[in-house]
Amino acid sequence: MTRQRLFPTIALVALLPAPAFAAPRDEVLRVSPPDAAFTLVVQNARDHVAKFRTSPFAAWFPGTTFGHRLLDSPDVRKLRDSVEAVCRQLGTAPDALLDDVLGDAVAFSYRPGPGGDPKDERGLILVRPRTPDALRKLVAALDDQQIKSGEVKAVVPRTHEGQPYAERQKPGGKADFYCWRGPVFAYSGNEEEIRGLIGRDRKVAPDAAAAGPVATMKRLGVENAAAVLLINPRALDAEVAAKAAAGKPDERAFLQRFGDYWKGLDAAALFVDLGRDAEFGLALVAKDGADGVPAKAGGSPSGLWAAVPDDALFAVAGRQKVGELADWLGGLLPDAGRKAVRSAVEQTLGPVVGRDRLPLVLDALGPDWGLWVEPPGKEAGHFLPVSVFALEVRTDGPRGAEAVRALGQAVDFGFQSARVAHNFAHPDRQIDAVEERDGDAVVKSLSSEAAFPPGVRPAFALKDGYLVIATDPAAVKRFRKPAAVKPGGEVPLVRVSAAEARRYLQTHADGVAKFVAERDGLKPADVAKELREFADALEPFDRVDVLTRGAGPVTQLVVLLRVAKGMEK
Amino acid sequence: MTARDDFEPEPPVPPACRPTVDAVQRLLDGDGPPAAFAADPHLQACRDCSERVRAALLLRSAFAEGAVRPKAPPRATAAIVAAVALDRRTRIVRRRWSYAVCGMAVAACFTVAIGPWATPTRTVQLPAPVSPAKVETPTPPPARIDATLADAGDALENIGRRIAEPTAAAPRVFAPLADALAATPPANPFAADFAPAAEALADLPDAARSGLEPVTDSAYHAFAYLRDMGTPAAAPKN
Repeated sequence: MTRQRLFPTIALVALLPAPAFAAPRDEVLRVSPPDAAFTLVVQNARDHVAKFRTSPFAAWFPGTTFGHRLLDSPDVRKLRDSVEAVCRQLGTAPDALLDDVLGDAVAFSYRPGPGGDPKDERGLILVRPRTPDALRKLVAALDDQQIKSGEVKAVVPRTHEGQPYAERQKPGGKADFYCWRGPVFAYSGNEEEIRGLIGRDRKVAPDAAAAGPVATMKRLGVENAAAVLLINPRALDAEVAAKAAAGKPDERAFLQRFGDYWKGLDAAALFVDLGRDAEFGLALVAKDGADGVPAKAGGSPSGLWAAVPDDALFAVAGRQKVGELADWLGGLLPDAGRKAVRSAVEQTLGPVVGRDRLPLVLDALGPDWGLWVEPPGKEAGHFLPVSVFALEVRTDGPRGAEAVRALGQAVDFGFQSARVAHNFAHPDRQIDAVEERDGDAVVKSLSSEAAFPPGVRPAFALKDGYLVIATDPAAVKRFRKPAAVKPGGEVPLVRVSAAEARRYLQTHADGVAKFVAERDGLKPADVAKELREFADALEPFDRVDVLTRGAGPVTQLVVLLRVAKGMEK
Repeated sequence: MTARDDFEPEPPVPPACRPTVDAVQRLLDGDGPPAAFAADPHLQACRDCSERVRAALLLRSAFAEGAVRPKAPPRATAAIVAAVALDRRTRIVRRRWSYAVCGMAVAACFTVAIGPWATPTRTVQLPAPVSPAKVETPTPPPARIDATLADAGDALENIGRRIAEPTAAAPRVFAPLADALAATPPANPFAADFAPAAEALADLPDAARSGLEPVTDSAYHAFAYLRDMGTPAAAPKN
């Protein structure tokens, strides 16, 4: 080409609009069946693996006891050998397979048979390789190898609407099918799926995915997750309705409520997201105006999270009015169950606080509540963790002071009744009642070295607007009124600290092993070994958080697995 | 006297030999790659198993050759008969072509991810045959890819089990501690009043499970379909 001809060509190319390249995920989802009940999408595996391999966690994990034990296992060796053996047979390598074939986007869609009949179920696998030629060679090598080994009899070319696809004929009259649609490879055990794909590819617009499944992923807030299992609620409506209609009498109330939630659900997905930590979640989108999805996000975290000590082994906290929670639970129960809950409250609290004051007391309880487990104190022989329960008691109501007084009397009555009943039955192991002042509050506790395990002294107090009950009065004294929290953002529900649990097991291994062994008739050495192995297995993890997030119609329930070292730099 | 009385009873197989004996079984069934033995460290330590493997490789080559009748080493027949007879019932041949896409995706990701951690594969030198017959061994037919991938799937499953195993100790450790706190005297004087309510609430998880069944069952079928797609033994899909 001469210089004179080259210049206009470059100019023309420069003036053309930039081509819009669809993301590999979008290319795959564009041709996936729109009515599938489930669509599993795995995307950017190459990047995730690359980040993981250079992460602090990857450098650190093999040096841990658990990592050493796991990576030295014959199973890891067998896995690597098997994958390498197959790759060798197919003329590739695991790295190349991930880089060129599987690293961008892989999807699997599934449609159950009508009425759940497995005979008519359908599935389709879609792969968007970075290098289509690499996958073409791989498929050719696979066909060739499997023909030689007798797994496949022949690969026969077919056409549909003038478009080619292949049938892999197998012994026994079975077959599976594959085709290429542009850069997307499709495979199915069902010929109709491949034919449907060809038809769909010719009809749908190039950007169809953006308005379909990708839009759904975006609404659910999972468009960048490493793996997403999209659930199409409408594909399962009939089964959910049938289940509700056929439910047992004691389950019917719950199933009907669940059916209402389901109808109000517009989209749902399970997802795995990988960053510094790993997230496993369920995302839900409610229909506009639907009074459906439970535990809608957008609420506030319990203020009591601020009172949970950093070294807590376990904590759960929420923000519900006791009365509202009882109503919600009652709605899930059959009539008999609802009456049982109501009568339990009325018969236990009613006589103590006075039946006329019961609604007042119930209204004053909440919304903040929390339960957590702390490591035991440092005194010799104490090995049982300390449990603390705290419940907000509102005093700003019209008869707030009266409600608080009634509640205090009720809890005190419970403590004293139990003490008297115990002392009556066990004259040799008497329990004493103890009162201590803690600022403006009075901490009441029960004390007995003979009746309680070491370190256990049930106690309670009404303190700073909270009812605090604990297995150690020191924990009640440590409790401080938390600062007010801002609404919105993530709402933590549960926290399990693997690091603190490990520290606890290591510090109190002897006491715990002896206690468990005596209780269950085991050898302390065996229990201690089990404890050590469990503690080792906890080493890679820091903590697990369960939380909700979202806004408006979107709710995500997330399990956040925080690892000891980051899974990316 | 029955025909079976002509056979000596099978000696019990030590647990350490079981994986190798199973691999020999797979090889003889045409489902296992000969290369798999190169990575088996057990062969270095166990004379019986190295005999079994050598005999099986010899027999496999002879079958591949067809007309060639090799002279087997002295203990080959006994070793092969013992290997073939072993525990057929527990062997499950899985032919899952779909692993070629989805199984490979997981296995390849895992293999690449742990690549820098894994120790290099050891090449095991098989001991020299005791009295080898000169056999013209043609190139054996390629190993079945689905069987090798099924091995990878098994390994992946076992790795998951290994990771989960120590956590099984958690309930054994923490349940007694929780029980100890819950059973701490004095007993709840209102326990009897709460019992019916507690019973009603305890039914909720079952009801929830029941309500979710259409979703969980369909999800289960979806993954079973994914796993079995392409299985020769599966029902025709078209």
